[in-house]
Amino acid sequence: MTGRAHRIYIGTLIAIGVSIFLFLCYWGYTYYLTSIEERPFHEDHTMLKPSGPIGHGLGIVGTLLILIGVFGYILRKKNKLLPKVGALKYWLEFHIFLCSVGPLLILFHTAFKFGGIVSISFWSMVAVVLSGVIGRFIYIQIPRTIHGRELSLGEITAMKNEMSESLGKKYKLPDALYESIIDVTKQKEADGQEGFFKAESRRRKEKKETLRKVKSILSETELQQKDKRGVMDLVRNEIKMNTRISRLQAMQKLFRYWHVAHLPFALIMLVIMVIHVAITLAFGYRWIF
Amino acid sequence: MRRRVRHIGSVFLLAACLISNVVAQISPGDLSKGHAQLEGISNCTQCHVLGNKVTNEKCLDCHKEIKTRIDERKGYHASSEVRGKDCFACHSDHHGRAFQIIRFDSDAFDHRLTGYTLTGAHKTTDCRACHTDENIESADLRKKEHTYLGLNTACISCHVDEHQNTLSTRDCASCHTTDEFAPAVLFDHDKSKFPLKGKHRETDCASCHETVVKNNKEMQQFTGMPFASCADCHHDVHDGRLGTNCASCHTEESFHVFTGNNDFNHNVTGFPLKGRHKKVSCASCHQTSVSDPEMVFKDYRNKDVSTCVTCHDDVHDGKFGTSCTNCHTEESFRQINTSEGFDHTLTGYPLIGKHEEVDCKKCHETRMTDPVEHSQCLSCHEDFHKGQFIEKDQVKDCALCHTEHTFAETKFTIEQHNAGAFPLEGAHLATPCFSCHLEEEEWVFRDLGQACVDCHTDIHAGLLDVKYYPDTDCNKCHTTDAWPDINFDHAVTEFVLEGRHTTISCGACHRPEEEEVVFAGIPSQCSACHDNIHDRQFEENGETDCRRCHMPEQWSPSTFDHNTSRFVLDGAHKEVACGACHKEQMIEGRGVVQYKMERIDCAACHL
Repeated sequence: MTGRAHRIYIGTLIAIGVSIFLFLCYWGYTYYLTSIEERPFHEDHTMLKPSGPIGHGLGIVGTLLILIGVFGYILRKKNKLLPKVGALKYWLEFHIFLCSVGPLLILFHTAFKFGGIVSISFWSMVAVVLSGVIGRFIYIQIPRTIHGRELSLGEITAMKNEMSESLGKKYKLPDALYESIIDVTKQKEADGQEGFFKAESRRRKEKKETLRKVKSILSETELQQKDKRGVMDLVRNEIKMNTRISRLQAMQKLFRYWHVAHLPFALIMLVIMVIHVAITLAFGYRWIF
Repeated sequence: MRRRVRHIGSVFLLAACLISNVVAQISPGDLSKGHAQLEGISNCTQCHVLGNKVTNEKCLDCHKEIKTRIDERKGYHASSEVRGKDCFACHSDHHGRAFQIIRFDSDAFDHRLTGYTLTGAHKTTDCRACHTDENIESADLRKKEHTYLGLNTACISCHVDEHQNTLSTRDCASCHTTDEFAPAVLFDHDKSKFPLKGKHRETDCASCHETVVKNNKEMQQFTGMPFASCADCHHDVHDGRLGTNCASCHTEESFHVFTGNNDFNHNVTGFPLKGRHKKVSCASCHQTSVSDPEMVFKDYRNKDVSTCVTCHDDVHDGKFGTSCTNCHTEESFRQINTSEGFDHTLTGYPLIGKHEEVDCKKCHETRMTDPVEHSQCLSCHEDFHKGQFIEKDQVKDCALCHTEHTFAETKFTIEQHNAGAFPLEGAHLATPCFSCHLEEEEWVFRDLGQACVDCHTDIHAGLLDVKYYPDTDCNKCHTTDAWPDINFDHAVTEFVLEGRHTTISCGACHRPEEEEVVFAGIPSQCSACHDNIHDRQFEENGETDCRRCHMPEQWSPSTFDHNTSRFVLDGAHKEVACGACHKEQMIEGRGVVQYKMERIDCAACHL
């Protein structure tokens, strides 16, 4: 998938998700804003209540989207016997799409009424979604191949060095200038006792300082503006790579802990959802059937 | 592998933590206050049917009072608006404790659906004024908070029996409406043992049905009241001296209207009631408020009842005497007895002639006693002659010519006529008035003209030369005595009358031709009037002149001298009659004596 095709793919998924959200908000906002006690007297209650034709349907469709999103992704990821269809990166994006739209539909299925056993499922779902968002942040902090394999520290350092070299070659910087830029962007030695948040704060300050210094150095050269912007972009990437190298260990550790949170919540959600569906069917609420 | 085990372990740990809550948390929301006791997983099937949501049977298993009403087909839940609906369509639950499972808009509710239509004051009465615990008979229903069940449609189930169970019925609606308690408009007193008549209909109920105290409570008494005798309610003003049967004299119309009108034979009093007298109340004539009840109706003793003025005022102040019945009847004072009786001479205007037959109202258009102007005939009559007899701007009174006996006849004399511009003479004296004065059914007395032709037709017009009667003055020849008396000098014409012509009538010569008498253009020759019996024997130059032999005085004898002819008479011929020689011959069909002989020899006569 080319970069352009990928952008269209992502844009379409986001557009679908946002459209569904806006449509449901527009359709039911007077009903959903009505208090619980007054809703039965609302004209849309029959359709939009959780057991109504629309409300119930939202729950069923949302559940199916989640199930497809979860188990599709797990199958693709875990089952090594299956042929590797599509890059894991795209599967993950589709997993995120389905597992965002599905909960969105379920949110409207609940009619914003959070109570009873099923609320555990709901809040588990919320936890899974939120942890997914965090996981996505951690995930991108760990450099990978396009197939999702984590890169080792050596591979990452090599990539960084390659980038540094390209800085000198591409823009034919004088050696003195090149050295001074490399020197400025070089990672400061970390204090071994430093905490995560303190280190993050320090890195942000250093990044600002580094960019300011490079800018100052470049202003004294006779490079064209276009080349100056190119150098600045490369410097930013250099800093990003430096940051990731310095975070790598912490992130890899964090990512393992994240799995412990993301997966159990998903399982709780699924188990209670099954109970919820079973109870619903047991009491004869079969949607339109 | 270790990690997977750890995951699964975490899940079950979490699940175990939650499981106790899970069981209790199946409910999708709190139940309403009325159903709060049904909270909890063990109670789900109290309302829900496995595999079949919530059924009406489940609801009605608990709500037996509603089921009973539905089974009896009574009340709102048995109405067409509710029948066939699921209970949860109106009464869903799990919407929180504060949820109004019965949302009831009392203003919009159609109470007819309950089988009890609200009317009158019920329409504006607050629901809870009736739907209170006090009015609910069933103890079970009374326990239910805010229930609308348990009321009875009988009025007495909500209202207090103001009559304290003294009436024969407990059905309030048989007398009262829901509009207001009093008056009891539906009560029909006529169906009671004492139907109301006359003044009793207008009398306030409380006048008879007094307020009494019973069970320490005031109550208007409607039953157990004596009513057999009038005196049960009314005070006997006669103090019992005239008996107890008030109805023998009085009616319910009025104390002063007596049944005596119907029952009492007034004829025995010497004053039989007639006309209006039959209808007036006794009290109109008789004094009812007498100190001594024994004297009631005896107030005309020793009074002259034969004259009306004993009772009635004489509005004429005695002017017409005291015999009112001469003019008035007992039917009505205003209905006047016109045919006889009233002497009109008393009024100063005696009725004479036709006036005696005229209906009074013709002249007396308003009241009989209103003055009527009568100084002139025209005060009542129209001027028939339409102002032809105006003198000094005043119409002469009709009485100058007419009398009250007839209008057609007149007392206008010939002498009065002769004193006018056209004195009557000759035949005019015998001519009726209408011959001259009636024109096309219109009487005309003015501008008739005085010339003969103003009335008479000039029959000579075009037939007689106007020089003989200039200005068409008929008097040149005629007189008023008689038309045929002609006074005309014929000598002024070209034909002077002589001999026999002076004695014959005009018409002998002036003969009518087609009803017109011709006077002009008549030739003067004799043959113009007379026949020529000699045929053309004596004609000379085409004309025969009779005067050669005949005279105007007489036709014969003729002045002819035979000796002047060709044959002189002599001898015996002198004695021979003319006819012996002159024989009659037939010429053109008529006999003509032949005087002119062709031959005069002897042999012509003597053979």
